Amino acid sequence: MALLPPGPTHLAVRWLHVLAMATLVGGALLCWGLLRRRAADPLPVLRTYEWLFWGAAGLAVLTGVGNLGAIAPAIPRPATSWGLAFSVKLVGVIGLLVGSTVRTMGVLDLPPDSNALPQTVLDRLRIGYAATALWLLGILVLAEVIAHG
Amino acid sequence: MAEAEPTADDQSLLVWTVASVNAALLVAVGVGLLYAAGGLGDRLAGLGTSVGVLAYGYLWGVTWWTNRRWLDALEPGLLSTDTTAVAVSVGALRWGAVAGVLVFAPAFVAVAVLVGGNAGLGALPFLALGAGIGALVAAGVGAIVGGILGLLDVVFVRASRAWLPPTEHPPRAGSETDTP
Repeated sequence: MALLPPGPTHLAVRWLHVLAMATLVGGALLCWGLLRRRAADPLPVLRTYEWLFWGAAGLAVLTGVGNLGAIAPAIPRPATSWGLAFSVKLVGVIGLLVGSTVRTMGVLDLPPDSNALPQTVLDRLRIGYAATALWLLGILVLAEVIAHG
Repeated sequence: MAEAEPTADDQSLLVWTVASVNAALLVAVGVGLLYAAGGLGDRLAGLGTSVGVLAYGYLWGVTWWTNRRWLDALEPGLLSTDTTAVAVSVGALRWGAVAGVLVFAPAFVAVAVLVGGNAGLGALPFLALGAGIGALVAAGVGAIVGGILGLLDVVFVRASRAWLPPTEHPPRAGSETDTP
């Protein structure tokens, strides 16, 4: 059942997947960099990233399933090395979603004035965004394994 | 710890976050279960990319609308320390049931159009019965899933407080607080 031609649709899905991942990784690195350099007022950027993060994360999951659809029904079985990499990536994606919900709720619970934040909070935020970026890079490595073996 | 009233922007970001994570988790877990069971390839091939994108967009819209209604009605708010898990669960069950019916509806309409087109008016009693039973089952499943996701939200809030130490909240400009 296809409403649009499969070729251009799959190309658009792949392009959006790359765009979403670039937003997720680039934004996490930007937030980490701002906190590392002790920027004067990082909270507006962190909140903007959280908005973008959830749009991009939803888009990445959507287009990730779309990428699977492009090779369906010939998706390798779970017992293969491809299947193992895909399963680990899926668990990684679920872990990213859970961990990032905790991160966003933490940012939402902060006072609006960055100057009111103690250094401990800023340090933990910096570690949180670094962990987000590293986790995403791990998912990217698995995506490379899945795409190219 | 003094709590600041959430601004409209904070509430919108909270709704956006909860809705997006709910839709993404449901799809990711569903894909994982189908893959483990061996039925993912056939299901995706049958669905098609464009229909799959529309279905995900619809699910995202449903989770956004139901979570907005739920979180706007939740007093004093999901992020407040005064909000209990029971209060969260009651609203999550109710709006989960609504979401379940909304997710079931377009799938049923698609089936009804196909069956009605082939069988004509004779299929009407069968379709009405299917709609009633299907809506009940969808509401029940939606309530269970919504309740689980609501409790997960409570866990996420508590985990975020454990991660970031409590900070004094000065009142936001233009907001009213209980503290002088």
